[in-house]
Amino acid sequence: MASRRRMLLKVIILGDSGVGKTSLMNQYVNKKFSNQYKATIGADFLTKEVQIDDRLFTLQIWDTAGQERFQSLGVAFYRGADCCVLVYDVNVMKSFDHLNNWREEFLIQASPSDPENFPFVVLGNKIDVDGGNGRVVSEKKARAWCASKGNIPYFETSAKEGFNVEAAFECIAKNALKNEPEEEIYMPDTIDVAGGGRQARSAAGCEC
Amino acid sequence: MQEPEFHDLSDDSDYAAASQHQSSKTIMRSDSVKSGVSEPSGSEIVFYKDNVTIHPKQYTSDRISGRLRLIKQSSDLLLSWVPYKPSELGTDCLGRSDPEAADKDRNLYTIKASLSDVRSIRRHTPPLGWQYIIVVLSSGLAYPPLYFYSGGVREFITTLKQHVFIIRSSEDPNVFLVNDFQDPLQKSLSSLELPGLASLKSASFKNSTVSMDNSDYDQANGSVQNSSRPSNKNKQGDLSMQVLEKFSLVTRFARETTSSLFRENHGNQYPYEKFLEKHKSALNNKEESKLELDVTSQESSSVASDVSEFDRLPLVWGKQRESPLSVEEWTSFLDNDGRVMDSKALRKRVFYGGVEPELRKEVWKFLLGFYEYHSTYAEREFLSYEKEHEYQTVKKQWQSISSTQAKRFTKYRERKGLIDKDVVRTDRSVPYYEGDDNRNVVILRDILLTYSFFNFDLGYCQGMSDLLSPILYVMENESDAFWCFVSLMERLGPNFNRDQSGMHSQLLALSKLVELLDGPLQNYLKQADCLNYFFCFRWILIQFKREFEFDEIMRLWEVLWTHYLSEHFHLYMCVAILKRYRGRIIGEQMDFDTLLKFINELSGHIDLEQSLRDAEALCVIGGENGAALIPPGTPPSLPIETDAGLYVLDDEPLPGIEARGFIFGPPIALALDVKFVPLRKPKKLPGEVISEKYMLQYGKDRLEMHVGALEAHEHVMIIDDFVATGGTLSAAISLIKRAGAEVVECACLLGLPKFKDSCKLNGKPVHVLVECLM
Repeated sequence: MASRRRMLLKVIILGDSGVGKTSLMNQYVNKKFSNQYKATIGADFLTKEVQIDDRLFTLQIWDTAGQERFQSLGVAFYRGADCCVLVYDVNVMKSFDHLNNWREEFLIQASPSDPENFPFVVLGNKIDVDGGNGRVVSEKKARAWCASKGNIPYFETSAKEGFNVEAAFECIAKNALKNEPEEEIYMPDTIDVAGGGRQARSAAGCEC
Repeated sequence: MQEPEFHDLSDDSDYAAASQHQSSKTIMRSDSVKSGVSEPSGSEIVFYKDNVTIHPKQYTSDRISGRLRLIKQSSDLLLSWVPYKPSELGTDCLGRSDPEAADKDRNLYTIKASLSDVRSIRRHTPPLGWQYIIVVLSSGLAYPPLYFYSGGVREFITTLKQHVFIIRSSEDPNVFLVNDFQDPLQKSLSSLELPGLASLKSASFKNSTVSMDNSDYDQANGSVQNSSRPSNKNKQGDLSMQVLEKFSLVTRFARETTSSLFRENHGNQYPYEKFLEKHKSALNNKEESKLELDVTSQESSSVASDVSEFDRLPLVWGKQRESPLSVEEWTSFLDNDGRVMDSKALRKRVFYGGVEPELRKEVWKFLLGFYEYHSTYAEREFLSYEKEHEYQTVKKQWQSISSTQAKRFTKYRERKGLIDKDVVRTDRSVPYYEGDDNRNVVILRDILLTYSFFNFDLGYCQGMSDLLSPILYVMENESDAFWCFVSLMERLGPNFNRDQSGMHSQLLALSKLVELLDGPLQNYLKQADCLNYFFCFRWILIQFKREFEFDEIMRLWEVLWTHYLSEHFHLYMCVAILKRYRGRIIGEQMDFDTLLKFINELSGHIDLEQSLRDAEALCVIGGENGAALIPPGTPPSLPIETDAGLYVLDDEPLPGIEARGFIFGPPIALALDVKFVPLRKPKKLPGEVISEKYMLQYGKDRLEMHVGALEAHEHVMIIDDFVATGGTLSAAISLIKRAGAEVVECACLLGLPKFKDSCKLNGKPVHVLVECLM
């Protein structure tokens, strides 16, 4: 009975403090932008119903604190993630430089069963700032990095203006769904008692 | 009894359409139909019950009655509850005369859900009052309780069992889990897809959350799940709040009904003093105290027969809170020179009532430890003056960094960038910080940046701006705010440690307190794999700053800072709030995600005064047993190294004095895994030595130590068996000093009375375990 687990797609948004993680999430879910979001403490999530290929899913989007110092909390929140969104600010070089750290830290803490093929999506946010004049990370550079990490899908977004946000999350949802292999439901549910496998988790231990 | 409609099902699929089809209904007198009514669209009603009612508000007159149905639609089973239309009813049914409002509620509360989205159904069959059920969705949301005025809960469950796979919870026989396949056997049974079991796999998720057939509500629906609570509430935000509030009111009402029943049965509620007396007697014994709490629970459960209802009952306690400390009262605490004569009485007074806003500027400086209680007006004025100067000196350290220097100073740039980003999103809705180019925001930035130089190791961490903002607001003075913040960070600094050790120790202590004070909750959290308590992370990191309004947080903080009943009163606050919501946490079977969201969304909805009273009562009940569960050094206690002996810094050697110092030194060194350094009588050590002569009552003597036994700048504690005059110890201190190392403190098993209570020898504290009378 894999369908219960399958209806929930868990997505984690990571990136440096102030790159716009909370704003992206709120723009996508609530179609709202505010420049008065408080710095995220701990973690929180929003959910949104999405339709993919005529099927409905609940996208659970996790927003986390951006300061490196809180990374050790990740273990509790990254568990069971289906897709990881890496966000940087196109106007801040170091937020781009740190993408690699965020990616690696995520793989360590979430320890997905197949790290090589775990779906990531990269978003270059705040392209609206100063009419794009303050930009320091070129799209080419960002795409090159994404290509080098196994062709990570890349989007340039503006959470403030809502630009490309919908498209980005559509891609995120589809990639999250890919992470749940279709064959899963044909596997005999009674075999894996020892646990450890993805199948056991998704079939039984999905409560938390 | 009203006459229920029978054939009209249009409102099941679309309420809006239903209102246009009112003429097509046929009226029949029937209470319940079990099965067999076919429907044009291929769906079949397998159960229906009239007079199923919700209580949307606290007032008993507000009720909405409707019809509950189970509808089989191809392979899916739908649960639907639709209120009666006002036009069809006598006013007696809705009990209200305002048809417009009734219509609004009617739309608001319509329920429709696929059973594949239901996690559990809880059945309540209290001996008094109506039976009702609570339906909890897998998303964690729960519908308001559905009261079966004409009975039929049993029938409902029986019918449900015929169509979907439900099992009784092993934890609570009144909870039926739907779609629960934790048991491999059940999983395989369900995979056989036995005839008669609706296939949940193929069910559609159209109505997966609270679905209301009203466009207004659809809008709100998105917001209900939305965690963020923008402070400038727009219309949509308000609407979602309304919905949330209504839901919680429903549950509250259900509980209040039973809790008032309970009180009636027992005459009056416990007077506070009597209550304390009763529990204090049990304090000395942990088991006994637990027992006492259990008894309270059982008494109530015999009436309520339900976990979710008695959790409010033991919490009718705590002292009535007083009015805030007034200016006249404050002056009565001071002597002529301005010293606080009885600091404990002052702290007690503030603990029970807080401080009037205009007094905060002065009183907070004492509470935070920037001013000493026994200081005079003049001393404080001088201190402020001196500290202002000191502040400016530290501030200049970063102000003098030129832009070219900053280019090669990444750490500084990163810190400044982080602070710049955070101050502009800290309390901007508070008038003091609102608007563009607000000077106070700049001051906030300057103080934080200066602090990150004052305490460069700790630096800046998110959350600090939240802690500083109310302090600056109260102080209205940059330097005073800085030093108050410094004092606060002496206690809360470990919250921001890189290894999160301060947070982990508090979360662990919280877990132990919950185990002591609310066993059932702890058991539930254990079973739900939530024992890391990360859902309380925000509460603890910034002392509930995000959970209360700005003026409330100032009240809470001054109470916490008194450290009156406990330095860790904030942890008892956590227990109190969790305990208050335990019924919902357990009743709705929240998992980690749901619980985290639930806790996050409590923000702005926690009753402060109530929580303070509850926390006080829990603190008293916990007593010494509670305090013993919180290890020394757990924030906001001061770090161990500075306030107690016998804790040597990591890896620093431990010198001991011949001969009996050798009995105690080596075992302690072994336990601490540090090097033991023998200080010996002359000519005992084989290698090259340095020595120190000293006078004894009965002559001269000398202490020797190997050259190189201690390295320069090592911090050590000297161990010996007995201190009488302190002559030998003084010599040991000098000897070690000459080797370039530094003695932090000395520890002896026995000592003359003058060494008791941390006497100092050559400026070094001497700790004596046993006072020895000669």
